[in-house]
Amino acid sequence: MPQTAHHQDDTPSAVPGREPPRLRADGPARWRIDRTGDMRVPGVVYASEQLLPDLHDDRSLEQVANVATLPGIVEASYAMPDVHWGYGFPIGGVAATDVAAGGVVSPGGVGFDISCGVRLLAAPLAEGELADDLGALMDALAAATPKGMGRGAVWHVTDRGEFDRILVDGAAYAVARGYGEPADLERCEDGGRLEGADPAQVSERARKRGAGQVGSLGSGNHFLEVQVVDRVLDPAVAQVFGLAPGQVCVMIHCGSRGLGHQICSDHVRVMREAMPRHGIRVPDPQLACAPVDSSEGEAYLGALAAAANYARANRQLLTEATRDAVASVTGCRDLRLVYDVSHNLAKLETHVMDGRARRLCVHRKGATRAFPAGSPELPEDLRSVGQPVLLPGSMGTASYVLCGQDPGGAFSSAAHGAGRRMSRHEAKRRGHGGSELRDDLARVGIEVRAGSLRDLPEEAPQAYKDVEEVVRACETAGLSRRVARLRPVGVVKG
Amino acid sequence: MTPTSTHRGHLLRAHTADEIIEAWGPTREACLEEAALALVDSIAEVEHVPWWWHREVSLTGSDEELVVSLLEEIIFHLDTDDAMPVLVQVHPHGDEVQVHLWMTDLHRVTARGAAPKGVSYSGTWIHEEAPGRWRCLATVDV
Repeated sequence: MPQTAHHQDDTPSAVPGREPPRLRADGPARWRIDRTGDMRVPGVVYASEQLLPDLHDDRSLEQVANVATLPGIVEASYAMPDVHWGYGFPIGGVAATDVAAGGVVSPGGVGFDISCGVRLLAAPLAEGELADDLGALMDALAAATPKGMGRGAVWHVTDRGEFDRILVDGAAYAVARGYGEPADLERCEDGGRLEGADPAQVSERARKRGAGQVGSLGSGNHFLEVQVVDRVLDPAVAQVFGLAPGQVCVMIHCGSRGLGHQICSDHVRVMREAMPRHGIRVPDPQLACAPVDSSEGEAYLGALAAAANYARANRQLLTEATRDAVASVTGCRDLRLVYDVSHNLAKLETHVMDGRARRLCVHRKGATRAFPAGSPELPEDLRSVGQPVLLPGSMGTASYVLCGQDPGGAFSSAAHGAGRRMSRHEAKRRGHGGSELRDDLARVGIEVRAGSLRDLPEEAPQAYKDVEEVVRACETAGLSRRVARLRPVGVVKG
Repeated sequence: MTPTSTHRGHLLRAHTADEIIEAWGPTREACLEEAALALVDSIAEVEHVPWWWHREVSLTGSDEELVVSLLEEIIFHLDTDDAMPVLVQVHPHGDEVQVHLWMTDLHRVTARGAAPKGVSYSGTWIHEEAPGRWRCLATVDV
């Protein structure tokens, strides 16, 4: 009988003797990593001094430096204020490559959960109108939201043609099939449909993984939250976004489920094999990449768009399930979409650099696009103020709605959340048990419905950085400005 | 306990957002089995849970590719069959390895952590660090 040992070790697997790159102050909430070795551009980290110590405990700065070696990268390898240790790219990393200069696309620069993102719905209800119904509402939302491990879906898609339509038309197809209103699409990034999807680049394994999960939350840090607009910091912009003090909102955070993860795995594998043919070497295997205009690059971008559309359809389906649940308890179904934005994506965007418009492949991994006022990509009503940036906090702390601003930074990007500072093991070891945490949150007016109480402590508020500090750093660095603060009153977790 | 203090075994290491699996064993196949069991451990408690059905799969590629493919195979069954292995056996078979997964349904186990969803090549490796002593590390996205 073999002897087997297993335990959990909270020691991060740091590489002995490897010093993190040196940071030097470079402006308000801005730090610079100068070029060394194979770095083609410097690294730029947007963070306050208070957020910096966390960065020295993990390996995210080393990852910022590694990303700076990618072929065709321009300006800098950027890190947002919520940056933390990922693999290949840091989570909270932004990098743009110049397509005309052999710029690459890297699946690792998007991450496994392609087009993971956040959408915010605003209800015509005030907090007071909900008070007596909150428990019933959370029960209804928990019942209506497929969540946790494995299969489970709002929409059971069995027809291959129909599945392909989801991959090509995203949220637009969900709406066409009756899951939502046409007005929803006006408030989705790309109108809920990313151009260029190529279902032929999606493997059978990816299709199988995605087939049983169309309209599901998943597990980990994904959630559905009922929130209240706690404070409006920019009334004029909040009015355009459709947010008022005391208003009830619902925030949904999820992505492309197993389908997106499989697409990432499949295309990293292809690019690892293709790199020698393209003469590319990278310091980390998860940075595997290929030129945007190569066959491998084009294949990945076609599959990525398909996964992005799946993710947008996924959030659209959960939106309809939310509307049904809210209506069943309050009689009100009129939840309006404030915005839907991805924070794991690579997109071809035009940015002006040195006075010249350039076609760039902008990777945002754990970073939110934050276009300023006047951007032609924004719907007309938002163009006068700028794009809503949705920044969820942790379970039990506030979330924020911010707004893209000019000139912004990092190719118009901002943070994507509070950012983890503690491993899941450490969060469980240091925190309370699941039922205790649920009761603690109930005492401060937050009703939690968790698929697994045992896993709940992994997502405890103390496992995350201070969202207030992250938001302040975004504002100080000029990445985005605050519009409204949202306070959670109910949480559904996988 | 250190990774070399027993003949074979596995543990889960801290990673800010995800999981790092560490496994060791006297042969490459034993090390792969332990890596698979580490992933199983991260998902649910399976001690004393009987298996209900069996899956067999052949994997090929570099040793590192075998680690990634084996873990991905388990993740694939989680997503598509609502099932996971309670016992894993890996046998050499020419240029391939033959993997036997003795499966149970998810509803028969007690979940332990967030679901694994992908395996990163970053920080993933397997090698024979001394004669008869293989060691493996893998980073799993959750």
